Amino acid sequence: MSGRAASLSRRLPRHLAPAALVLLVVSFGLFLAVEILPGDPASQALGMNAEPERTARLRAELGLDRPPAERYLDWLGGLLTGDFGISALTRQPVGPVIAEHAGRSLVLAAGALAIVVCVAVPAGILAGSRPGTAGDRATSLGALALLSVPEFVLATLLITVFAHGLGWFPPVSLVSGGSGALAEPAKLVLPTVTLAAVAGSFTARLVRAAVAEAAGSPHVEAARLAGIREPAVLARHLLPSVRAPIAQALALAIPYLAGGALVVETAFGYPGLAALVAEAAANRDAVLLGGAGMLLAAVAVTGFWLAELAGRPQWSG
Amino acid sequence: MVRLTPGWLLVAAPGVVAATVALAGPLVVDDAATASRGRPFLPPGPGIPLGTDHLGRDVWSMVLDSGLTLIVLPLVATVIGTLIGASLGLLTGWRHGALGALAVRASELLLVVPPLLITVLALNAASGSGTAVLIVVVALLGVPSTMRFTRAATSAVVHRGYVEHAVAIGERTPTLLVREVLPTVAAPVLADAGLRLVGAIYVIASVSFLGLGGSALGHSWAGMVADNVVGVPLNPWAVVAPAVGIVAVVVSVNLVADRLADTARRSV
Repeated sequence: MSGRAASLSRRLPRHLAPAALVLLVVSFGLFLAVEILPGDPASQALGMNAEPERTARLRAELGLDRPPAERYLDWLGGLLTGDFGISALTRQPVGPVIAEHAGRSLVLAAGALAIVVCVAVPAGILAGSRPGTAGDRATSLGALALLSVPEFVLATLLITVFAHGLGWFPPVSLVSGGSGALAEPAKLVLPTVTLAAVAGSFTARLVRAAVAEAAGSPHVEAARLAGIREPAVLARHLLPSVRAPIAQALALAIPYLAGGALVVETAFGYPGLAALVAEAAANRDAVLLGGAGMLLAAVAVTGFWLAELAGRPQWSG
Repeated sequence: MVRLTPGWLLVAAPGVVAATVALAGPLVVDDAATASRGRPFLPPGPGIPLGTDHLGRDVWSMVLDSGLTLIVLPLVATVIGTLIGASLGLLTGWRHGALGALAVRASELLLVVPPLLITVLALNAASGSGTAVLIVVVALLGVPSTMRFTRAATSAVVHRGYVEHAVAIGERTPTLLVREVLPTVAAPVLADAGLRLVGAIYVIASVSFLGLGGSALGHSWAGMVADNVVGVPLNPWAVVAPAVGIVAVVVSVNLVADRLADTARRSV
């Protein structure tokens, strides 16, 4: 046990390095995109027609008159220590705003991930354990069709039917800041379902493919021929061999959730991290966009990193 | 080769209908048809089969008039991206050098950040100057996948007899790639381009729903959905009609491209 733990701690830095490198490159691209290309945050905040003196004063106030390399390192250091900088628009630190929105996004994403685990994964297993049957084909076709529908279309159709048509849920999920997202669960249902639908069809397809491949393997066939009943074949012979691909499929749902949240949160007016990114882009708030965008990208990269870990034999247990 | 079966027709039909409406619509509709008819969000009635939208315009005429954007822009972006990606894939698959490996590694960076986030950031950097930037970004977003796919397909072809024969008789590399390799990998690459098209429609539609990407995008089925969602209790058709159009296009293209890609992959 201690040997295993020691080998883990020795391996972890090597596994973390590629992900950290990706994040470094992403942060550089993000810095370029929000700070340098279009004119800096000060001129963005004051607009094109502001007097040069005012822009210069704000620039000095925000430390934008320093060389870009120094500002980048400073920003990067701030990200690592949790200091996300001060918005040129609101003159407030953006860290607390980002943290509050991220917390609400986490509630949504956790709910969606729970649906993926409880619905999409079993659906993928059932479809894959008997490949080629009508049930398998229906599941595969449905997942593939759902996967291609943009989230905002799904969101609007759900709002039309379940909020306005049937009146089961509120059409807008604007949860108040103080009480937290969990205080009003009815508002969470539709955004969570929308988010889970797309990520879930992606995961279900991956799980189905892995299970279908394992279902054709000789030892599963042998178990079936030996007259072992189907549930036991599934539990004892099929599933143990696909644990790693299933973990991988789940981890790969995380980037989907992060990307999909951009649209889903905006469509439902849910004040989460991704809606904050979209809002910051619309308001041209560079510092807020940089911080929130970096956090969202980090979530996606983490998902890919976890998937890669799950795919390595020594981790699959 | 691919045969046309009833299954194929069934899967392709909704997309063909929606695309026909989108492509032919602007020819049918004149300025008078898209002028305001009066109050916003009127329910369907005589002369207004799907009611009116947020500006009191006839929804059916607006659907006919604004379908083109979500077909043409993604198509242009996909063609550009496929040309770049397939060329890079052919070259790096032909010669397995350090440069090719580096290109694949670098392209992975584009794959780990959500495409929509990249697009939003790029549009922000472009100061909202819109459609041209959007096409370039969406085209580039498709390049990594196309490149990896073409590279793999090319690598599989390189050592076949007829290619080695052409190398032996001293054909020049560009001639070789175009005459011997390209015809074999063209079908799978085109099928892959279909999947890229779905991705392009997804990103462009989502960006226009978010209200980014310039005024040209506001005039689209996605823009209609965004504009009319407040009026759903009064006239749901103003949202449902363009939404159904988008669903018909993406689902058909995705299902057809997936089948084609499957068949093509088996043939390589």
